[in-house]
Amino acid sequence: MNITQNVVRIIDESLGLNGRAAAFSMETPLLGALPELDSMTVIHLITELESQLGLQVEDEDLNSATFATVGSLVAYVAAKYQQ
Amino acid sequence: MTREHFFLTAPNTQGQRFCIYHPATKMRGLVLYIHPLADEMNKSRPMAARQARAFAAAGFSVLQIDLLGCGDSSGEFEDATWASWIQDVLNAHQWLVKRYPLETKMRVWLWGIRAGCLLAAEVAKLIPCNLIFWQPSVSGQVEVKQFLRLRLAEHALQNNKPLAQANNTVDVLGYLITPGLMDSIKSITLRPEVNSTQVSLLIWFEIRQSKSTALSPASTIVINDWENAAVKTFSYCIDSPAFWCSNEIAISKQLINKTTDTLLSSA
Repeated sequence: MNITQNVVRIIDESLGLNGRAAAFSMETPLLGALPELDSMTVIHLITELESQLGLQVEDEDLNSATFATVGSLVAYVAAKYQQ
Repeated sequence: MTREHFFLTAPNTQGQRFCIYHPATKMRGLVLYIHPLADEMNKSRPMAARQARAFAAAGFSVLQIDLLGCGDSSGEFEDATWASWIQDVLNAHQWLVKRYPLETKMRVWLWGIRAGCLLAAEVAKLIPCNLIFWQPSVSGQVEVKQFLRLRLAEHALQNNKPLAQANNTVDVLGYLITPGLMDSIKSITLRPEVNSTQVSLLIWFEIRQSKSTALSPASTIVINDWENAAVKTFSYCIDSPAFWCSNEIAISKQLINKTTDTLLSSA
């Protein structure tokens, strides 16, 4: 399973970006830079990552570093997926 | 034929359960609806009602039951235990098959939405049945985490309530959920063990706003498990808003039509 592809797709769908995420790279900043991502919508994003990829996100993981960029989120998901 | 509303008495004086029965004119099968948790139950009402009517029109009578502590049934949410909910579903099933004895080999379809699918899967270990899943919660652990996370959303907006630890009864947007109920749900997954389930047919709908029709990786794995357990599965991804948690009412006619058509062709 291609984690990067799935994470970018889920970002696009859960935040309603309508395909804009196709232009994202690993360096693309998310939290603080993407207006669609705030404290409410981040919960929806997490729910979709959990439901679609079979992860379990802990409350302690909910910090700004995880959601800083596409790359940081992909790295987080990849690490969770190993568990 | 008109809908019936009535209260089913839970045995051992555990109170009354509010039920709605949608009779089919020319009955060819039975469906038992198992609602999702807390506010998802309320938000699912419009879709559940429409689907129940569509099932009845297609020949499948539908019984909807409010579980203990939910909806219009007796008891408070903090009185609910997983065991009591399993019993509620078994009692509802009993009511259905007593009133409409099925021909041999016919089974009641347990139709769940979200966490209702976890409850349906547990009951499916106890009685022969078929399953219809709408956006099933695949892991009880994740389901409880997501439920508790609703407090974070509330907290993020209000910023004045301290986040209580979840080893006591927790108030989630007004729903008091006990540690006992949380532990029970956390212990359940939707992955069947071979020979533990009495299910013959499974219809699985993943529901999300996406142009992609591919099932998610998590669903694919679990559906594979059901197929390995010798259950015939029909699975689809439907492009629809998440009506069980959205702020505005969302209706998906596509979901209703596809569910009804799949039930008719598989039964």
